[in-house]
Amino acid sequence: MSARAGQKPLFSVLDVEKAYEVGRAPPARRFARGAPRLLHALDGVRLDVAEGDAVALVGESGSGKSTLVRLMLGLEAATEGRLLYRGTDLASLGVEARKTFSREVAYIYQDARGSMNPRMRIGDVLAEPMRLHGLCAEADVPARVGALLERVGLSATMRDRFPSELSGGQVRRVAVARALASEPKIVFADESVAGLDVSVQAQLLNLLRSLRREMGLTLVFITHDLGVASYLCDRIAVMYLGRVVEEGPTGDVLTRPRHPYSRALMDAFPSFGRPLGAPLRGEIPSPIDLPRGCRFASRCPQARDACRETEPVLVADGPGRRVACAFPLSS
Amino acid sequence: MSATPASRGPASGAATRPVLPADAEACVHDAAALFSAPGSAAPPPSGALARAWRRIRRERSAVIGLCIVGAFALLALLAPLIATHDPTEQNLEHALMPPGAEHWLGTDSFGQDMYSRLLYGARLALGIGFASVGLGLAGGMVIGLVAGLVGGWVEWALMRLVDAILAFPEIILAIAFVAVLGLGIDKVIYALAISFVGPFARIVRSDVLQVKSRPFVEAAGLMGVPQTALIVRHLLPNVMPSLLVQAGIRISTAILLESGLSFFGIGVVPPTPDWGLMIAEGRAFITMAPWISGVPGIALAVLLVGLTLLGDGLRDAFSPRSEGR
Amino acid sequence: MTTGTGEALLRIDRLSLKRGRNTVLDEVSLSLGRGRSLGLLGESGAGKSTLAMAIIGLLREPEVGLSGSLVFDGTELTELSESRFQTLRGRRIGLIFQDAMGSLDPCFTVGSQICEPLRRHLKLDKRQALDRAAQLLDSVGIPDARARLSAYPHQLSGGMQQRVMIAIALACDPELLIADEPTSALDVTIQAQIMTLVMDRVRALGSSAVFVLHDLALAAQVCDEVAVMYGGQIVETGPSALLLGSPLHPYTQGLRACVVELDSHELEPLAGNVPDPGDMPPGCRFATRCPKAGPRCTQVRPPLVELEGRRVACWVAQGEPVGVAS
Repeated sequence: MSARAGQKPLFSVLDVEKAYEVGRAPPARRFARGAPRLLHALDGVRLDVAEGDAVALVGESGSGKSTLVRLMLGLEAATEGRLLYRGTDLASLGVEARKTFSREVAYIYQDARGSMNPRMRIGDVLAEPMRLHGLCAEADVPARVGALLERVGLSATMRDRFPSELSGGQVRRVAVARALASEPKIVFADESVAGLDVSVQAQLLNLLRSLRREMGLTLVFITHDLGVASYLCDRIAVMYLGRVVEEGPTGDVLTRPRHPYSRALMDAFPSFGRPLGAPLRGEIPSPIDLPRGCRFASRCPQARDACRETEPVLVADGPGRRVACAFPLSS
Repeated sequence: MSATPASRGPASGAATRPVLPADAEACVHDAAALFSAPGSAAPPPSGALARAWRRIRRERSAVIGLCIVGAFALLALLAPLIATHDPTEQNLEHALMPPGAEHWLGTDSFGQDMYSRLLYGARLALGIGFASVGLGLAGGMVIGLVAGLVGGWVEWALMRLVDAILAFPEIILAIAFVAVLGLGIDKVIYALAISFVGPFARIVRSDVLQVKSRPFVEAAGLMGVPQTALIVRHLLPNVMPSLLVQAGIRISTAILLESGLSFFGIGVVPPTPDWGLMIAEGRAFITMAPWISGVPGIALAVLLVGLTLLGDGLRDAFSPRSEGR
Repeated sequence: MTTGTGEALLRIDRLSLKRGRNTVLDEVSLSLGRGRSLGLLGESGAGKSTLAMAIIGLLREPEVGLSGSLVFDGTELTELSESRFQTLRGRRIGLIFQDAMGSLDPCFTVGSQICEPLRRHLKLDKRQALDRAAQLLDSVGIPDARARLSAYPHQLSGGMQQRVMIAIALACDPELLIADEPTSALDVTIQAQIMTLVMDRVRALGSSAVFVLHDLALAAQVCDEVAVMYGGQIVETGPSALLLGSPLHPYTQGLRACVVELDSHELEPLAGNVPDPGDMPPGCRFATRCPKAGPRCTQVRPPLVELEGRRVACWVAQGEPVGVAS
């Protein structure tokens, strides 16, 4: 874990689980209700985010990365486990603390356009967090809005437009601007560059990187794209079916993966100068009826009997690295 | 399941759940520009209004409807200026005169000038139409908002109440309320308004539920926007546009109902120049002096057609669909 | 398998497509040999999907204005009637679209959808068709193939649905496969599975393939040749390894520099945006954004010429003086 000695991490996720009920199994007796069938979106996640970190949450469908972020934002409550922000449990934040939390924690939605009120002009969209948290005098708001727009590479005249008038790339930039408007300590972003043309994506990535450097922001970035993860973030947490299976410095994990799933992700990722690798077999299992033992065993190229018996725990594996595998890959 | 990447397109944004076509946002926005909703911030910019106008212009039915309704509205507004006589002035010597130089559309059995009564009748019809729909909208909005936002048993109870109201045909309800409240213009307005509360409450509640679950509402809540501001700034302005189009469609219903009530003698009281009343009064003279029923009858029919065309046209103009170029 | 020998399977010569007043495809010229795979690359609005649609005859007169020639195995497609085209589609040309869920009819079982081309084109009877359908499902890696024939599309995962689409596309052993972003909507490990599968099957049949892709690295891995499109024109085309390894056209270079790789230090994005189709500048369409645009570039459209083992449409690449970045 990368928390500097003596410094409390900004965010602590402690053995968090999140289960959704998705119907019930057939009842054992007539007139009884069947046992609830649970979808385990998160099944025991332990993660720390220190101030100044840039963490990439990487995983495929069903990995639980989006759910984890929603829990960290307080949008939903965990079924088990605790989430701490600056040492305080999210579930027991007082009114004042809650306000501070909303100011210090910003979220860039995946659906950037949908996350803005279509009837509000961009200028008002950006001004809203400023006014809400009383960050400056009312008279200064237009100037700050203009400055924000220019910081994200848009012209200040955009303040009078509506979100529906903007292109996909522009609306993402406004979403970034809005996240910055409250002068946050930590920014969460969900696939903020997915689905964009490469040149637009590159522009946005550069923007995020320079903003991070300039403002010393803490960043938690959800992505399925390993290249984006390595470009933006210095730490990576690979998730599979509701658990973190590997964690560590991005470059390290991606060049010397220890978990077979991380290696499989690396191999599957298209890259120049490398032919299409032998892909992972099998489908991603359903998070509803999880198999016993290691949840990756069904697809793992080196699964052994022991793997199907006991679930591996996330343990330290060298400086700053953790891996959840009974037989980690050798470097 | 986690995200699926977006479709490739210049105006796309990645989504996890199906989103309305990009055009839909534009449609709501254009509709909103036309009706400046109560509680919204600045008046819409001319750019947006111009876009809304372009949409309307494209729908032929909307344009025709607008012309017809516009003409009637103009007549109604200018009635005091362009009427030739006092509409309730009786002149028994000139009773039952056919259209001529002095009385452009003839007179009725009391010698009242049909033309002036027509103009003032338009005023009354449109006035009652807008007032009753406006009141019903306000009432429906309150119920719908509370139901949609509070949820739980409150929502259940309110919606069952609405179901009860909706179980009755509107005319029956109107008659019942008139029976309770009495006759007269204002009583008619209240009676109609109450019978409109039901449909509007339903529409508002379902709109509120739908808008409530959209990402920007959650995003605003996450930012720390307090509840009242959420409702006023984010929820209402996005509920209003489609609601107002619905209200526009209902005005023709209101006018028809009101004329019907008056025709049966349980609406406004004579000698108020009301088209329904005039049609009823002219029944006895249908063969001798057909203009007494004919003039208000035709006027009513044309106005209703115009309102219906306008309402349908507005609805179509603001419905999301790809604008082929 | 077989390299492009002799007559090309698909030859496109100065194909132009107009929608209303906009020229969406502008004198596109390409050829594809038998057994070769081609990647169409470019950003949104470049016209790559439009080109794919035009090849399979989904964009025809009079909705669009077509000019130029599109020859498939000696047959001129631009003049082909719809009924003749229907005998080609599914039989000799197979199609895979991006959105499998949307392309499969939710009301019919997977088996019946695979059987449809088999019975229509190959005139198999019901039992033969079902046997072959089971074989096909098996060949695309669906376990329990026979039982799956009676499944409905929504009962399958995204990866499975895409496999079914591949089975349908390859059902009649087509000579040409056209795939429009076949794996963009899939998780990356599933994408790897699907692309490997498609390439295996295509190579086994000796068929040619045209892929519309946005992922340059994937194109490098999967396609023998690539064609980069910009503003409805082909700006560079040639062997994929060569072209993507050392691109000559500034746009291709720009695209290449934008791709985030694991060791990217600093991305250098292209400035500006793709111009609107109605608003294309004279001369080279990329000139307004090109860091090397010279005086000739903004006036005269550069032709596609053979240069260093590929064809490129760029004055600067041909040795024209480099201009100051605008």
